[in-house]
Formats: sequence, C-alpha cells, structure tokens
Amino acid sequence: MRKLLIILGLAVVAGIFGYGLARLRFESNTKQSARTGADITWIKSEFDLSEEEFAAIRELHVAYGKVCARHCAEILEAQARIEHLRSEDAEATRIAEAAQNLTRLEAVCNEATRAHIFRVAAKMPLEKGVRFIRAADPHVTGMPHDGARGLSR
Amino acid sequence: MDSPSHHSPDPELTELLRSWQVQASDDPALVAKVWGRIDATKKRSWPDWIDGLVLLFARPLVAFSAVALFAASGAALALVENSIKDEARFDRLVREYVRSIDPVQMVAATAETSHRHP
Repeated sequence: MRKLLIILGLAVVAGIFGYGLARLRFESNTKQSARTGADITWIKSEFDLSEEEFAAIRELHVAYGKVCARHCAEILEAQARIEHLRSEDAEATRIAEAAQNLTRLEAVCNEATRAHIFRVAAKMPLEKGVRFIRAADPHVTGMPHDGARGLSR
Repeated sequence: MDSPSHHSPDPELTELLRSWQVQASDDPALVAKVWGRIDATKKRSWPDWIDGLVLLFARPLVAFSAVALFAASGAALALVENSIKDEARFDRLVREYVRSIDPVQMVAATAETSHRHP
C-alpha cells in the first residue's frame, strides 16, 4: 500500500513538473512577440515574415498613417458640424445632410481601411495573407463578424 | 432410514468411541488469535481492488509507465492551455491593430483616450 502511494505521489509530481516545464517553454516563446497590436512588430512574429516582407508592410503602414489621420480629421469635423447645427437649432434637412455626409465619410474610411488590410496581406505569402485578412477584416467597423467577403473558410 | 434400535450395537465402534478423546490445543491463546485476525480483516479500510492495484504497481514497468503518463498529461494540459491563450492573444492583437488603423473606431475612442496615428 505504501509503495502504491509513493508511486502515485511520484506520478503527480511528474505531472506537475511536465506541466510547469511546458508552460515555461511556451511563456518564453510568447514573450518574444509584441504585447500590443498597434505596434506592428507582432505581424512579423505572428505571420513569420521575412525582413523584406515586413519592411514592405511597415512602409505601407507608415503611408497609410497619413490617410488615416486625414480620414480621422474629416470624421471629427463632420461630427462637429452636426453638433454645431443641432446647437443652432438648424433646419432638419441641413442636419440630415450633415449626417449623410458623416455616413459617407465613414463608408469611405471603412473601404480605405479594408483596402489597406488587403494591401498588407498582398505583401505576405498567399496562405499567410489569407489568414491575415480572415483575422483582421471582420474587425473593421461595419463589417459582419462572420468573416471577410469572398474568403470562404 | 432405519432407527438405531433396529440394529444391535457394534462392539468395535462402541470401543472406538469410548477411546476417543478430544485433544486440546497447546496454545491457550489460539482462539483469541484467530478472532484477532478475523477482526483485523474486518477493520481494513480499503476495498479489495486496491490490493489488485498494489500488486499491479509493484511491477516496475507499470509504475514507470504511470509516472511517464502523468508527466505527458501535464505537458499536454499546458499545450492545450497555451493554444487557447495564444488564440485569445492573437485575436486581441488583431483587434488592437485594426482599431489603430480604422478612423471610425479611433474617433469613437477619442472620447475615452487620446490616440496616435501610425
């Protein structure tokens, strides 16, 4: 009986040891990749990209930054205009026009964001690019969260 | 069955029965010892299958296999846990990335925090 308990005890210790060792190994791998999504280095590690591929993506990212900033400013301006018209008790048609303009701007931004995601994906090898689109595209505003259009799973 | 009264007594058997004597045990504590062993068996707290397990684990190959199986199970558990965490981490990174390049989401977030363009 004592022998059995010793063996079971050893087995439990071995189980804990195996778990701890495996966790330690995986943890160290995880720490190597970036912690935030805004810092695009995670794309390189997650998609296992070459230096050339990542450099091309970084270039796209920097260029898109200006477009993004412009779109952001336009949306903010459109929102401010609606607020201004409301505070002035402007005609409903003018407020509706401003709201329409905001919707149009948002649609343009969404398309630009989606286009950027597809351009980034195009810099990756095909399979990785498809995986990137499938992961990122559903998170763009206004996109259904059931996957990117035209990319069946 | 015939009643004994119908038979004449067998003189040999009668003689043998007369000569028969019960031999008492040399050990006066024998009865107590027997009852002690019976009680000990009754007081045993584990079921019979445990005995089988003890015998099974007494074999080195079985004992080693059990230890190895537990170690492998521990590692497998960590692997599954890590893959779940990894998926969640990947999803979080993608969401944060898209939020950082989607002007609509950025504008929505301005009310809460300031944002930086890429």
